[in-house]
Parts: sequence; C-alpha cells; structure tokens
Amino acid sequence: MSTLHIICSRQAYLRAQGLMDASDAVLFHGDGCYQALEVLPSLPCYWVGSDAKARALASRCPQKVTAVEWPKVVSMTLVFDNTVTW
Amino acid sequence: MVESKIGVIFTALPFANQQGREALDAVLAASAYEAPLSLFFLDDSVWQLVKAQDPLQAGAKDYLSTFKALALYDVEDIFVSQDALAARHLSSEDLSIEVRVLSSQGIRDQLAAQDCIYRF
Repeated sequence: MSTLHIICSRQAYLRAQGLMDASDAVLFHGDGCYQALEVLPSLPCYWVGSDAKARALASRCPQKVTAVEWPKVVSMTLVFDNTVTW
Repeated sequence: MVESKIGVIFTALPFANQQGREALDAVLAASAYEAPLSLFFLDDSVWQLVKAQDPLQAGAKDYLSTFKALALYDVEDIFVSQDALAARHLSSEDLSIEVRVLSSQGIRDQLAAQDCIYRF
C-alpha cells in the first residue's frame, strides 16, 4: 500500500519520517518547502512550486525534488492508496 | 525622545504566522519615539530577509518589502546570526537589505547592550 505524506512544516516532517515506507512519496507544501532543502528520505519527493516561489526557494530546488502545482497534487492524492497530511 | 536601547528579536518564518509582521509593526512604532533600535534575526527568521520572495503567491500580505524602508526610519542596526545563515546555506548576498552578520558571541554582546528586548 502506497501513501502520499503531505508535509507542511519541519515538525510535521519529523513526525512522519519514522512512518515512511519504500513505496511512499512525500509532498512538501507551505513552510514544509523549507524542509525540502534539508535531508530528505530516499523516496520520490515533490513540492508545490508556487509555495516554493513565494519563499524564494524555487532556484534552490534540490535535484531530487520535483515541483508540482495544485492540479497535479489533486491527481496524486487519487493515485496513492492513502494520503496523510501531517 | 526615548534614550533606552530597544532590541527586537525576530525568530519566526515569514508566512507561518503573524509574528514577523507584528515585530516589524513594533519596530516602526518604536521608531516614532526615536528610540535607539537594534533588530536581531535569529534562527528561521533569516528567511524573512531573503530576496525575491513573493508573498502574494502564498496568499499573504507583503510586509517583507517594508524591511527595505527601515533606513528611512533610521533603523540601521540590523544584526543577523552567522550560524542561522550557515545552517540554511544562506549568505548576506542572499538578503534584501544590508545587515551586519554576527557570531553567537557578537549577538550576545549586542543583546547585552540593550535596555529592553522584545522577542517575536
């Protein structure tokens, strides 16, 4: 079973980290985008491009993080078996 | 005119809550009394000073551009933690205004020189 972990803060990431599985993916949004600049799990990682742009982080995007916009976020929530917003 | 030195410590991220805007409001209010003001940016608050942010994209009001007007209010003592910048892979060139980057000891010395400190 695959889970999309939606991370909105550094604290949320710390809570979710221990419960991530190899088939999962991580989506950073809002202030969670700052966490994407730090150590990340070896899972597919995404962030909301407009949230990163608002914070002037777009140009600092780590190679393993894919920028997506909200329509894509919605489609991702449909693709994964579960979605957990931390 | 107030002679007591006032220090204002910023600690919050730009858009997480109202703390940054409230801190700036406090600074502008204190400047009306011509109090000697020092601003300290510690921890995550250094993100408030990063160039090219677009608060409208985050659905937030743009208080960040007001930082550029601080010089007009004679607020020139703006100190940024060197450790906070380094931990976030930032440098003073990434910031939208001129600041003095200080070590932890430098920050402590400057804080010790204040008569009154507000933390946001």
